[in-house]
Amino acid sequence: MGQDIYLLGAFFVMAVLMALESFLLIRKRRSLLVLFRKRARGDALSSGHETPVE
Amino acid sequence: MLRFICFVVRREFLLALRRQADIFSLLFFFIVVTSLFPLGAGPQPETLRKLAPGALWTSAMLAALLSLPRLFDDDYRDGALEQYALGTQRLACAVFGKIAAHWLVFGLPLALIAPLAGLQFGLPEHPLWVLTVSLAAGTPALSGIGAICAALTLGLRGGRVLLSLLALPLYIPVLVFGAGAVETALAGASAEAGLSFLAALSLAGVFFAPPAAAAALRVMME
Amino acid sequence: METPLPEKLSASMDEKSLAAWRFAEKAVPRFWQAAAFSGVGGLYAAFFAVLPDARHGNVFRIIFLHVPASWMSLFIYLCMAFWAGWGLFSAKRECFADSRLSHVMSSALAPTGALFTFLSLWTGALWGKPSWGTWWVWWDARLVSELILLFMYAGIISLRSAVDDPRRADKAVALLTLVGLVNIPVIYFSVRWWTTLHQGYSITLTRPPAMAPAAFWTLLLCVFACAMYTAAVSLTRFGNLLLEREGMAGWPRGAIPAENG
Repeated sequence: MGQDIYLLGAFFVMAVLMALESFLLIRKRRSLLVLFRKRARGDALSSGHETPVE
Repeated sequence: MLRFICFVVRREFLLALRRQADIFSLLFFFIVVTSLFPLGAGPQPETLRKLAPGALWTSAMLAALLSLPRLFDDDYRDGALEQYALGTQRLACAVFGKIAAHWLVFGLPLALIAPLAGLQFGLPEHPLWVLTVSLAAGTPALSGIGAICAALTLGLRGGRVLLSLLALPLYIPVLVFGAGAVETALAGASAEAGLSFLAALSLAGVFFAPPAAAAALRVMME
Repeated sequence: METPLPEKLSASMDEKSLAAWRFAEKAVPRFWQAAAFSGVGGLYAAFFAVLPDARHGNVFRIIFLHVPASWMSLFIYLCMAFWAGWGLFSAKRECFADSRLSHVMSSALAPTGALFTFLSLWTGALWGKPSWGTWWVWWDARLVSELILLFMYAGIISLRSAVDDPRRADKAVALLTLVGLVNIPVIYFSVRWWTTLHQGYSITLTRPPAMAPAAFWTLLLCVFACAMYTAAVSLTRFGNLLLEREGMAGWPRGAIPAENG
């Protein structure tokens, strides 16, 4: 197992970072879509002051 | 076109002469930074000799970075840059003139005082000579690349730091060839390879930088 | 320079944005599927199917992570430069791919490219430590070039966030990207020269001497998986950027229907 830790370290960081990137992007997309759906509804609340989740 | 370039060069020259303190402080900066390396690394001659090419060239690059904002900032602030952009002559010619003047006022003096800095490292004569030639041959590339980066960061908040971040990766080939040339001279071999690559980089830089910097200036001045 | 009929132009800009958004909406799930399938297949092959080297154990498998990351980092830069160049070229011309959209695509690619460049360095370091004893080696020209590429990505991302006006930022960053593109071969060549200068020869940590066919196809599969991932992620970011930039325009109303709740 001794040296395999390097392989696992490489794999896990790569997987985690790629998953994190995707997760952040999809979360941003969802919040943008919510905002735009509200606008389409002509919601009185969505006067443009809301900002999507960063 | 040639007369216009000469006009720009002369104007830059005169402006620089009125602010001689700027250039002298830059050259002093160069000397001070080169002395930091021995102070940091210890006085053994062997260590210094190994450090010398990289330390000298890095200090030259840092001094070049500090000299870049004066290329466009003053003219941008008082509107002369817009006059160049709106004029009948091409902006790229004005940029070429500025780069040429920048080299004459900064790069060439830096190369000439470099032996003084090199003596701090105990370099023998031939490498000192190669150092001077390499700096003279390489600083046009530094001016050219620096002009593009200075144009891209024109008028930005925190522009100086961003300028350094943009310019340093592009400076690395010049550093590699310049320091490499001095190093081969130290090892006793001929420094031709490094010097010719430097010259090629400078020629390419000085030829292609003016149009690119002019395009960047037009974008940033909108 | 005045453009004629601003009303008409903005209508066609809306159409183009709408078309691009719809394309992204349809394409992204496909890319995710392709990435998932090829990724699972590639990882399985990389970790289990390819037989280990008797000497080195399992560490050599990092190649199936490192090489795709390196290739992606370069390939993404090329794509970024292509869209940047096209954005500059098509700025005043009527072309099928709008100038603004090209710039948005270029900025959508940058963070993913930077990520892969970092991963290339990370996996390279984790390959180097068991193989050569240190986390970082300076004599591998490709690894050093990747480091410099990371600096260039950082510069591009920093410049984009430093310029306030999006159109100006687009053009400035496009110029920087193209200047960087020209410099990449120069940088690689100079670093290779530098490594030969200091040790008389140039070797690469990162290129294996010869690859068995199974390993070669596994590598290609992993590269393909990363490319599909890149497409999915970049197009998602592209859609997000489009909405952020053009939120006040008309086309999102047609694209995103109102819903209850």
